[in-house]
Order: sequence, then C-alpha cells, then structure tokens
Amino acid sequence: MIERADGLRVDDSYYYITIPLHLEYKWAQGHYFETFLKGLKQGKILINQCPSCGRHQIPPINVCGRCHVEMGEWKEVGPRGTVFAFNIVVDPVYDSGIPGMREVPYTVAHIILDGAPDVTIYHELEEQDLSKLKVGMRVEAVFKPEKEREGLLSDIIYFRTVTEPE
Amino acid sequence: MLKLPLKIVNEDPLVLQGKIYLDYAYYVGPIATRFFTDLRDRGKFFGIRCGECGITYMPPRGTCGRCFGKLEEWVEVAPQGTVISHTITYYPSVCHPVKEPIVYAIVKLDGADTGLIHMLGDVEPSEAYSGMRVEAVFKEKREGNILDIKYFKPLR
Amino acid sequence: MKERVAIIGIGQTKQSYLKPEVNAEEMVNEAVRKAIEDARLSMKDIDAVVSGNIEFLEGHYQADCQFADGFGAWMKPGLAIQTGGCTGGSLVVAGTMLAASGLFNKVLVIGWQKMDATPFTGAINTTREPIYDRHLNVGAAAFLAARGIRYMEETGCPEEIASLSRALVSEGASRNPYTHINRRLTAEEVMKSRVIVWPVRFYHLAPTSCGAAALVLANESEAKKAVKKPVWIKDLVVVHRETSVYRGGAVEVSSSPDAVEKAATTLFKRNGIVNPRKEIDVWETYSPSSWYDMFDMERRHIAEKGQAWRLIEKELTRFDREIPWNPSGGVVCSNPIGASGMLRVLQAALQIRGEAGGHQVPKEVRLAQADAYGGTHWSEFFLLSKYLS
Ligand SMILES: [Zn+2]
Ligand SMILES: [Zn+2]
Repeated sequence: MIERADGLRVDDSYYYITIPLHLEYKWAQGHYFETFLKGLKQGKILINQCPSCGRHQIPPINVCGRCHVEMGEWKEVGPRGTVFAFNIVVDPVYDSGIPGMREVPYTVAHIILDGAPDVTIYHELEEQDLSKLKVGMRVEAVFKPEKEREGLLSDIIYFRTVTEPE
Repeated sequence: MLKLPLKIVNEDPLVLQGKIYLDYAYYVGPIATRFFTDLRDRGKFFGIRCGECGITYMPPRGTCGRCFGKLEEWVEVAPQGTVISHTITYYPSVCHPVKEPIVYAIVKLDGADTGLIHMLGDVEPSEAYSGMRVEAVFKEKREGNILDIKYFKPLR
Repeated sequence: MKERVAIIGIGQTKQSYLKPEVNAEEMVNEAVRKAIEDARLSMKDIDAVVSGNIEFLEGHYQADCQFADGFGAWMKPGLAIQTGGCTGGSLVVAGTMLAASGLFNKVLVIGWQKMDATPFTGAINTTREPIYDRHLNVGAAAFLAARGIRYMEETGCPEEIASLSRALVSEGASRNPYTHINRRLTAEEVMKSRVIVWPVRFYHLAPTSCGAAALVLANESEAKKAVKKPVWIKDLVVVHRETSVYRGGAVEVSSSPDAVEKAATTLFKRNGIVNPRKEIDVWETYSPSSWYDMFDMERRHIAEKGQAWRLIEKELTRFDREIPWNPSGGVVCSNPIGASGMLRVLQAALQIRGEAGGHQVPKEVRLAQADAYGGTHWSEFFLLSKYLS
C-alpha cells in the first residue's frame, strides 16, 4: 500500500495505471458577480436585494431564486456581522486549484452581515482557537491594503473578532 | 487567510482562470492485467473469444455485450492487421501522446473481430489508407500500458 | 402513476475501501448479474437500462459509453444520470418512471462508484462554485459540522449523542455482510476517533467506498408474474433547491423551507401517514453523518423539533428496537456514492422481503421509507410497501 501526497491510498500489489487530469478553465463572472467583486476592490461589500420579496443574495445574481424577478437594488452591507455557524479545518486538504496542499488549521464561517439578516457570507475567521469561537460572536471584515486588492473574494483577508458594548 | 489561486484573464467582462489538477489511479482488473502483462513481458497480443457469438474481442473484456456471456477463452492474435479507418490530427494539444501531425487509426489485428485504436508511424500522413496492412512496433522499454505499442507501421 | 411499479430483482457487491481486484465495469457486472439472477431472468428480458455514478469522482466521464457490455446495456434503450450524492435516488426515480410510463416492462437500474481511483477531497471540491467558495476547501465534512454545532446550540443535545447514534447503527452494520465498515463500535470508541472537522469525528462520517447496486423494476402486470414476491414502490417525491453554502443554501439563516422536510411531509400526507414513527416499519435514510441523524429524524416527523436526540439517548433507534433507523448501517457505514441512494431503496426492499439477513428487523415490514439527498440538494423520497393496496 502506498499513500500519495493528495491523500489517495493505492494497493500497489494490484495492477493499476495513474492518469493525470490537469485542466485549466476560464469562468465568465457575469455582470452581477462582477459588481460584487469590483465592490470588494473598493473595500465595500455590495449585494443585491429582491424588489419583490426583499430577500438578499450573496453572491448576487440577476434574478431572485424565489420570485424569478430581476434583481434591481444594490446595497452596501457589513463590514461587521455575526457568526451564524463555523468550523475549523484540521485535516490537511489537497486543493486541486493550487495545485497542492492547503495549510491547516483554518476557520471557515457563515457570517450574517449587518444590513442583510436573511443570508450569510461564507469566509474565514482570524480566530483559530476553538474555545474562543462562538455562534453569535461579532466579527468584522479585514480588507487587504487598497493597492494589493485584485477584485477577488480574497480581497477580504478574513473576519476578525470585535468586542462591542452591549 | 484566504488565498485564491485564480487569475484575472479579462477585465470587462470579468473572466477568471483557475485550475483543476487531479491524479486518478485506476485498477485495471484481471482481464486487462493479463492483456497488459502479455504486451509488456512477451510482446504478444491476446484477445478474448465469445464462442456463443463467434467474436474475438480486442482489446479483451470480461462480458460479451451481445449475449451477456462471461468470457474466458483467451486467444492469441497477430501483431499484424488491417487499417479499418484513419484520421490525421494537425492541431497541437497538451493531451496528445506525441508531436503532431498524428495519424490515428483503428486497426483490426489478424484473428480479432474488433478494432484497436492507435497511431500509425513510419508513414507519410497522406499515404495512409483504409485497408492498409500494418504491424505493431513496440517501445524499447515497455511499462505495461497501451503506449507500449509505439505505433503501427506499414507492412511492406 | 399510470402503472404501478415494483422491485423484482436485487443485486449488490460487497462494498469496501478498495476494490483492486476488478475494474469499474467488472465491479458493476457482478451486481447486474446478481440482480438478473435474483429475478430469475436473462438479459434478453430487460427492456431498458438506467445507470449512474458521480463522474468526477472517477475522473472518467461518460463511462456508460464504454461500459455497455458489462452493464448489459448493449443495443438497449436507456439513459445515464448524475445528480451528485443523490444519483442513486435519481436512478430509481428514472427507472420507476420508465416502467410506469408503459413504454418498458422491465427496467434495469444500476448505481455504482469506484472511489479507489479518486483523490477525494480535491475531486469533490470541484463541485463547489469556482470563484466564491471552492478555495475555502472544506469538503463535505464542514457542512455536516456546521449543522452539528447548530443542533447542539439549539437543542442542548450533548456531543456524545452523535457517537451513540453511530454505535447504534453499527449493531445492524456488523450483521450486514455487504457493508463497508461492519465493525461493531461502542459510543466511547466513536468518541475516541480523531476529529476531522469539529465536532465531526472519523466514525461520524460516511467513508469513501467502492461498490455497485442493481435493481430490476417491473410494471404491475410483469411484477405479478415475478418469481419472488414483488416489493411495490408505493409512491415517490422529488424536491430540489439550490446547493450547499452557495447563496445561503444548506446553512441559510432561515433554512425553511427545507427540501428534505418538504419531501417527507408530502410523501406522508399523500399516503395518509399521520404518525410516521408508528406507521413506518423501517427507515433507510441518506444521513451522511451521525450528526445528521437527529436532524433527519425531525425532518421526517419521527420526533418534534429538538427532541430526536432523546430517542437516540434511549437507544430506541437500534435495528431491533422501536424505530429501526438504518438497520443496514446506512451511509455512515458504506458510501459508494453513486450507489448509496440506491442501496437505501435496496435495503428497504430486502427488509420487506424478509431477506435482509442478520440485520432483518424483528417484525413484519409492511411499509419502509428510503431516500437519497446530498450536496446537490435533490431530495428523493420513496415509500416501499409489501402489499399493492
Ligand atoms: Zn424575491
Ligand atoms: Zn457473446
């Protein structure tokens, strides 16, 4: 039995053939996603809201998935928010996009941004200590310095814990 | 800290480029194990025959699709055969096994009833034709896969 | 449905972490042969073939193109289906509809996955939206973990309950010779297994498995001629909503309406089932983690919201107790993904036949509920019955 770097275990006493699948893709983002990403470049979290049911969508798209009407209004939300759910990744993870192993540990979380109470943004938290993580804790987006921003989700480095008066 | 392995390849409209790099490992199973081992160690081709349907399959397989019979009757087939069909690939691609132009061909080996897809070599692409008699040329150092056959060359 | 449809043939391979002795087509062939033999038919009697798996987990796309011989599909009509974790359920839905349409008398349905080929986490992350959430790279476990944390916070359920639930299903699994992890486990042993994504531990999580399942479905007139007693597909419901974390999905602030709950509610209502806990004799559910058991029992109205963990605490969910919850061991014991949803239906059918073997529940099984759901959020719910009416 051999164990590969990407975690696959192979019983090499049987005949097997390794085949690489190495592909590059180009993903067109569309106007709505593009607006969201370009907002990040300016240090803003811009999302859209359904004119019919009032629902928010992160990331934005052109229609509301419930009412099927065109999404009109843009709205700046955050940068503060409340942790809705979180988890810590401790097992090493192979990322086919790097390609290579992702460093662990890291904390990912669903965050309800101030101004959009019905939807979460999915991102990382700075805090990696389980005892300090709580559902309901207050956090804030930390943006990269302006000239390092590219217009990608990684323009937000992570969300850091903030303490607020009750 | 979130790092994204993405590249902006167009600004307006926005297009991002990313990779999917995965290496899969396939257990080839008992039938293909025997086929590739014979190819590698003995330089011989073995097909498998369905007595019920009178068909010799190349490459071999465990089940006859026609009668759903289990196949066990191994038969040696010749390294020589006939080109059933061919085509010439000029465009470059990272997926191609050799440099273009590539003459791909379906070769029916003598003694087999089904065609093996492979390449032709030692031939001008324009001179390849259906019905052409060819013979397998093996790699010097064989590893036990389909590219142990370097190509099929014209039988003169 | 125009025509009633029943299961008349059942076949499965042993499921395991590796299957190095066969290739994918050969593995599937074993299940197909068993199903045809179980129905006392030959391949000539089959009118259509439906097959499916998750392609990116094989790194071999459109395998049905090459595998017609081993699948028994040569020169037959049919289709191939891929709906992620729900594939096995979608296959049975499609097969049932083909047989119910009146166009085909007997349909062979095949679900399979050979995950010994797969660099798993890298491959499954390709299902994530590439720009927004793929590179958070949490795999499937993180969604399950987030759900578990919320369940504990909302209900006061202690962390040990998920481990106890895993121990309870291991009682059935240890008597099921086909399942992948058939080790009997105590709750303490489960609690000692390593954390993958807290609070999800190794044994809380569906494994990566190889295996194939095959069913022969027949319309009413053909089913009545079958050698073995047919197992009737009394009803089925499919519900879909957006996927995973993308745009809120699985962990949306307001998770209502929940697709699984909607499917279960519709199924029970349509069939006059008022008290599922009492009226359903066996449950074979897609629950991919022991952390989902409580949540899944509540979504199926076995318990009030926030109360299911108390049923587990009282150990009522063992295969030989009041609520036989995944007597086969379920997905946490065996997960050849493209076959997993079908294995739920297959196991429920074995229970109705009384042929489950060591994990046969100790009562007459008249009604069984089986389902598949997954990251693609198709939820397919089936009600299987021993009697036609
Ligand atoms: Zn709306
Ligand atoms: Zn035959």
